[in-house]
Amino acid sequence: MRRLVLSLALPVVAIAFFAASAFGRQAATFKWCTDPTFPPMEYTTTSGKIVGFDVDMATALAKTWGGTSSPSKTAFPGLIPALNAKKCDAVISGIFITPDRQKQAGVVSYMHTHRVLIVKAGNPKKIHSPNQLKGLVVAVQTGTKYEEYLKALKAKIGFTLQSYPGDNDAVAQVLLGRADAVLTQDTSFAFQAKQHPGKIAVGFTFAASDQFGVYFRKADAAALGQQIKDGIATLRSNGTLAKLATKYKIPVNTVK
Amino acid sequence: MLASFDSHLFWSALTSGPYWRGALTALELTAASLGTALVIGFFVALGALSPRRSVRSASWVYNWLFRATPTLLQLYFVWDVLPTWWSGFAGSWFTPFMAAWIALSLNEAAYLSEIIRSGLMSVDPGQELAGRALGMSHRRILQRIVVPQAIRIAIPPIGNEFITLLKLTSLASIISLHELLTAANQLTAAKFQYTEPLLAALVYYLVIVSILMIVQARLERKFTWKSRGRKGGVAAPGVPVMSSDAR
Repeated sequence: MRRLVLSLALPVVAIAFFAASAFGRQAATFKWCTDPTFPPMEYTTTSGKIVGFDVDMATALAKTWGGTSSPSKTAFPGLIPALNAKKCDAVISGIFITPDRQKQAGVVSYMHTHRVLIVKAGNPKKIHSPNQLKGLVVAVQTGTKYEEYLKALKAKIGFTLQSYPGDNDAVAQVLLGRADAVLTQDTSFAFQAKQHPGKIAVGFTFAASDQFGVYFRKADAAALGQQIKDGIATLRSNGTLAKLATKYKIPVNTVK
Repeated sequence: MLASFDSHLFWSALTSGPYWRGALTALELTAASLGTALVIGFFVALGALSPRRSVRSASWVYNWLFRATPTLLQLYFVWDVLPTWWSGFAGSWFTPFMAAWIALSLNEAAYLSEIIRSGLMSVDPGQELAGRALGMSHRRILQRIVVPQAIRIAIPPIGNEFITLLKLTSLASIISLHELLTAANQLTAAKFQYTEPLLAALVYYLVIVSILMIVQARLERKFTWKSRGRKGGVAAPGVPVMSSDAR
């Protein structure tokens, strides 16, 4: 009986081993799309290298299944379309988990943060709530949920909305003095405040929290999707995410 | 690709407000920039043909500066650098449209000045002498003799520039101008589809350029010599008779 079990189990183990190694080879390079204009989640160095929290996380994530990570640059509005056009295997770009995006792709959450309205230091226009944007100039990154929210708000209260290709382009408009506020994430503010000390402040923090997620194709849910799910769980439990959060000056409780 | 084509999304994009307004903005920006560029370009061309050396050099420097730098850089410059020199440019009066208008006009004027210069140079110098012999002033010779003939030469390349300029307006989306390509990009972001939003924008550009080409053909006919411009296309019957009579 024992021999029978062994003789049955051996091929199963062998097949599983082969399948795993075959799969491992297939997913050796973990190719993911990102829009590196959202520091500290992802941004480019002066030499053009993509760096940030998401880059380090993707490297650690790929390592959990023995792969290497390779980010590929895509404009924010094109991230999910690029995933479904198979230009990359995943999207990691400080991108929210939303119901309409979940219709297009599978997702694993890894961080929850808050939206903020960034204003000039000292808040000269006294912006303490979204409704006080009335009649002002607001900058935002195009194709984002921030823009979608601001468009709806604009229709209600009326203000000038300017949409830019990158999150940092939008923040730059506040520094220039052209825009009165930028809607973005507290992670982005933490980074920008460090880059431009004493120049910007948070006017308002939204109570509801948003989740950043790693998106993958629905067709890959059983394979790569599961690997990502397990990988993120591992990185969370072994403290890698917390360590990375500390490295990028993001509050550690956001990755708990 | 065609199997998954969402024709409903395509049609709703074609008829949507943002597309329509975006196309209108692109067309307005093109017309405004080309109009301004024609005026600046005309004077730059006159400057390049001036007998005065200092004026010629100024024209040369203008052309050099605006043709040697990318349009995208000029747009960024007007929008992001000017406010750091004078904070007034950060005011709400300085709209993205205005910034794009300034950048595209200055840029286009450099190219147009070369086209206008070649038009002016195509007019035989004898015509100017003839004008002078009739006692016409320099300005009058330019108005009545040189420019009408130069226009004929310049129209096809200017039509070309109009089309190029229309497509250049799509660059202004980086300084937050809501033009046609902005509308397409936003729809892509909202619907997660590339094909339908971009095809709808493509149709808009095709239609606009087709209309421009018709306008250009009309203008060309208007400025051609009368004998070739007659309706019917048959050789004017009077001409051979006249010439044989004259002989």
